[in-house]
Amino acid sequence: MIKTVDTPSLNWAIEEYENAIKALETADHGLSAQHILKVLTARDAVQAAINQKKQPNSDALIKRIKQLDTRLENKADSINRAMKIAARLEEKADSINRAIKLADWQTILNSPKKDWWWLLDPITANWLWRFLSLVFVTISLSLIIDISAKFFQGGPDTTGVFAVIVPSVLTLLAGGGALTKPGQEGMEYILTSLKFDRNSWDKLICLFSAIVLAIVVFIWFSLPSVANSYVHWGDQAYCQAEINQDERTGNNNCLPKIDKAESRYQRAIILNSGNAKAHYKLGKIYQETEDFEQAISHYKIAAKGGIDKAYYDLANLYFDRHDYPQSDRWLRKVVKPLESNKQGYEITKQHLNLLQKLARTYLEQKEYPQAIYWLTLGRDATKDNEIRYNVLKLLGWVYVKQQRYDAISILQDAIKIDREKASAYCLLAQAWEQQGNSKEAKTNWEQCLAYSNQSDPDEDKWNVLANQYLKHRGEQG
Amino acid sequence: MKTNLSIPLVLTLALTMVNGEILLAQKQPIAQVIESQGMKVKREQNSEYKDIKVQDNLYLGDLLRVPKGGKGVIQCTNNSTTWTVPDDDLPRGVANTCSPRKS
Repeated sequence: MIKTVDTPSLNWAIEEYENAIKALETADHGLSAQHILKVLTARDAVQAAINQKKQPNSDALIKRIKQLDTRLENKADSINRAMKIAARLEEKADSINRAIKLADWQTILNSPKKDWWWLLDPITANWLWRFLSLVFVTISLSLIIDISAKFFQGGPDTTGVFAVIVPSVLTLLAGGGALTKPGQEGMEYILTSLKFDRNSWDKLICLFSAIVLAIVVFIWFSLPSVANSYVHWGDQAYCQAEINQDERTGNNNCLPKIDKAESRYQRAIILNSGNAKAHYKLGKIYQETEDFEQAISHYKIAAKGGIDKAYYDLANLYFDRHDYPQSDRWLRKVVKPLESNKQGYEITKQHLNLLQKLARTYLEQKEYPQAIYWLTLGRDATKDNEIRYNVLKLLGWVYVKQQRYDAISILQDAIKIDREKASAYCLLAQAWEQQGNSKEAKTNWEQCLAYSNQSDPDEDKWNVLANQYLKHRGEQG
Repeated sequence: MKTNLSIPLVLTLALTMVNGEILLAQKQPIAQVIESQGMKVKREQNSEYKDIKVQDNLYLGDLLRVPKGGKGVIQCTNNSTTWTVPDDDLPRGVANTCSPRKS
């Protein structure tokens, strides 16, 4: 009986194993089935000794076994060649093409089925798995380079470091295992320790590479979500960018950290250049810090990304910079004339305020058609009495400038909304003067005087006009 | 028939007066007269100027007029500033100097 199933000491078993390998190596072309069988059973004996818990398995011994195993593996091809030759010699003509397999011997000798040294038969199709591993690792590496570039641009932070390190380590493990010799050795050690079938190692490495690729792809596709987190962190640093300056400083003692918020919004944009929210918030910061060109640039991207508020901010910013045509252009994007015909159409208070400012500018620049365009739009699109009064007042004012009779009815409509405001009376007095109705003019100039307030520059100016008119009338008797 | 017509008429007039008083009473004064020599006031609901005396309240929409040689000084309720109305016999709005308190 060739098989040795006793449990000899490990040292002795290793010695036997080494001797058997030496015999195998020196036999070379004269390699016989006996040589092979001796090596394999010697390896069985080594394994049996290792499995004996009482045996002290020092690192040196394990390392020696590993070296011997490598030598055995290197002889795998010779072993298989010898097995085929042996088969040809020993078998009859009808079965000469049948190769004897080590696995058959293993069955006969009743050795543990998973021991790799009994599976030194040629491994087929491993190149397919290695090629796939290579593809997966290459894709993973490309994605990691992209992710790393995004996270390290502008200086890394904790989140970035973790987001890069985890997939990098995994990819290097997979890549090293599949492509480099030390990596392959390390992987073999792991897989041997885990007692995986040697035939499936390439598949396992390929599977591992695929899993790593899946993780990397997941991280890559998660970048927009991570970008959203950065926007959120930016909002926290900026004490919620939606709130205006006064409320911000007074709210919950939150002091905005503009530089921190800026870097977080910028990181969000690096991770996802299409993050419209981050562009919008960054635009707000640049507007606040008076970097107007940058603010405009980010607002424009935000507007393209569907943030409607950005249109208003652009219009407002251009207005503040006295670029009225641009302000007009951007306001038209949010306050669309066609929609004003829809029932219940209402322009927001914020838009109406800008609309009034713009109309007032056109009035001062004597560009009356543009002023009328915005004011008629505003008049038909608000139910807020205060805004409606101001819009009608401005519209009446334009008509007074144009010396149009319509001014009277428009200003009377404004007075119906608020009888205790001076502006409409003052303008109505001028409208009646233009029409030659001195009685109505006098009445309205008096009303203008009764309600005007010197703190309002327009009303103060009209107050003087009213006094001049009444004085003139008084002198005329 | 005469009695039937006059009762609602009287009631309406009475209610109008009461309402007028109530309206005046509800309005917050924006100034008070502290000196008046010939100064007249035209209230929001009146068409004529009437004499006004010291400590009378003045409201948003009131017009004051001081004839030449006369004198009129008012004090705003919101900031206690005083204003001498020019004696040019031209109407002057109380609100021009004493703006109403913003609620």
